[in-house]
Amino acid sequence: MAEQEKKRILQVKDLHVHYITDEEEVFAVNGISFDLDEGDSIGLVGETGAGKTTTAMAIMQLVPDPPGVITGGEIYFKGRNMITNSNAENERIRGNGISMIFQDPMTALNPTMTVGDQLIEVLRRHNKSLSKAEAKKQAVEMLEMVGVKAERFSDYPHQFSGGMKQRVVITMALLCSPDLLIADEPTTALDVTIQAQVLQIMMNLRDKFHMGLIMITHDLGVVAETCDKVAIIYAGEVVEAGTVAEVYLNPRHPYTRGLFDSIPKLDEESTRLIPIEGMTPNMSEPPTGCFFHPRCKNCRDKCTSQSPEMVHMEGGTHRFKCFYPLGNDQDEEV
Amino acid sequence: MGAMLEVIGLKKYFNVANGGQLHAVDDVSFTIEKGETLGVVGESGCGKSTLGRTILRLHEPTSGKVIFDGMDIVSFSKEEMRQMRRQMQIIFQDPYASLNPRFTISQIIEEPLKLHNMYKTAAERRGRVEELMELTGLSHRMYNMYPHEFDGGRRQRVVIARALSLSPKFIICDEPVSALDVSVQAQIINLMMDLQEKLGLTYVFISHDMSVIKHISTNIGVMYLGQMIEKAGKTEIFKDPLHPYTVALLSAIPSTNIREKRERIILKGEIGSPVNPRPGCRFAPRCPFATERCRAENPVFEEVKPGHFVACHRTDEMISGRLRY
Repeated sequence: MAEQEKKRILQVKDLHVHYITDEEEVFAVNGISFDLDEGDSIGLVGETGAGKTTTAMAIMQLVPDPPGVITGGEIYFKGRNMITNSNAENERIRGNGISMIFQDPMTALNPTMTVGDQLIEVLRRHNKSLSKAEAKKQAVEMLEMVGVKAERFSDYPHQFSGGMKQRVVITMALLCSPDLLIADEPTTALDVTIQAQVLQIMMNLRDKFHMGLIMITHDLGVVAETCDKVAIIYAGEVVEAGTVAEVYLNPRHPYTRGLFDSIPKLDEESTRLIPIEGMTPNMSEPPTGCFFHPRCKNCRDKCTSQSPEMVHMEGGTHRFKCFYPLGNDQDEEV
Repeated sequence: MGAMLEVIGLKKYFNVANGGQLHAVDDVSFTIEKGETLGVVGESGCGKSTLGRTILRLHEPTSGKVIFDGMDIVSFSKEEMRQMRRQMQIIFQDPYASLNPRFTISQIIEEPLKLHNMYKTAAERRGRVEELMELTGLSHRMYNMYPHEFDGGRRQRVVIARALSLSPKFIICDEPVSALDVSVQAQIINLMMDLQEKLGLTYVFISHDMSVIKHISTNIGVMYLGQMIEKAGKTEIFKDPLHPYTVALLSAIPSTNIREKRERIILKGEIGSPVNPRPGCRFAPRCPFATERCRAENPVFEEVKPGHFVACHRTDEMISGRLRY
């Protein structure tokens, strides 16, 4: 399919989410923007507390309120603003339009119902005229597509291994052929050989159904395997984004570089790891200036007081938020 | 250097419901030299944590020998074992669960010193605690702080300081960095490697993360369903893996190197059950090269090249290149 024919299914524009309690206000998401076309996948990468899951929950309009408040921004799913949509409309979109899977498959499975009955229930809720027999037929077909044998249809979730449970959850998320699948650390609890199986299933289904995919992970390797685009998130901001090639081959933000330097490489002889010093900020009292400046090796005066704007590179989608990006030999301000 | 630890035919079976036996560790043998790190890798449920605990007799072995510094500690009495544990320590994955929330950092680090009557006076103990805090990168002002005031990385430093308090020679590290974010994980890995060099420690480093294992280990042992199926030097095992499971495992690791896309081997099927395992190779049901013999006869873990051990009936064909995925 030619580039211009791809339909944009999701636009997140300058999203802000705060968690507000009597004691404090936590600035969880601070102006995150990204787009996604049908059939494409984007990886949201960041450490614990960076705001990845909050962003996903905001897209689904499932941020727990209170304490969560979307304080600014727009989220367009197929042109409709999720934030101003009615609850009924968003209810329809969840499940039919957008599905989400989580790290722990048991959050999505009912332990007291057989897997088959749960799948039938989902199908018939979304299509009330569907007969039980027809729903069963569809559910079995989907299960077989992800490599779960038909004879397991009447088993309970606890009878499945972790990898098999996650396949059931993927099946459930895809039953109503959503246009967008949000996968929040879907393979983090799985072992590598099982992870490889599950990721391959997800990729096959994405291509088959032409879904958009948001892959939320802390694992840069998983993104490289599965995504076309990537956004690096730190303290509720996208600090660098672009195609996987743009960001992985030429990281410009010191945080991105720091993430790559922190992980041991498989195909290089071991040298000493270069950690990012310090720790992620407490976002109830965010740092002044650039949020990364207290941990940044390139930090200068300006970084401590002013917040950098997003810099867009010419001739591509690569962009980053830094006054003094890496790989800038002239050592000049951008 | 000489051997720090020799594990011979170690087994740990657990009784489970309906008269079954779970073969968590099933006839594992290996040697660790002094000052070396043996990385133990395998998928969850493969028995790597049970192996670590059984070596320290936190689980009583079903059978087999654990020879530590020349002594078979399986035959030790409780009191002898208690004394021996000064030299053998363990660090767990979850620093949130392994620290008493009502103790200050200094009390936590001091506790083993008290239990083992290591110093006569409180002042001497305090000196040792301060020394340990400095060694593990904990600043002096944290002396009277509580674990909940610390992030995961600092808590793991406290756990390490406590493990080092009795000057052990040998530490089993059970997924010590798996709960940490990558930037903090790198700090802890560097610390552990520095401490090993400074104090001449020997590690067993248990992890499911191959890239961490490769970084920190001297030798790597791969476990599958209670058995060690391959062990070799880390460069050797990455360059020339001989067990079909190791080959698949290495190929399945997601890589950040987008310039060189490697061929992935996607295994079929699930990991089997360790309860009353059937005879034959444990990997046979997922192995594309399995023969009748593999399904009937358990392969022996043997040295096929200097320092390179494999348990597979088809190793000769693997070495000669006749077997390929």
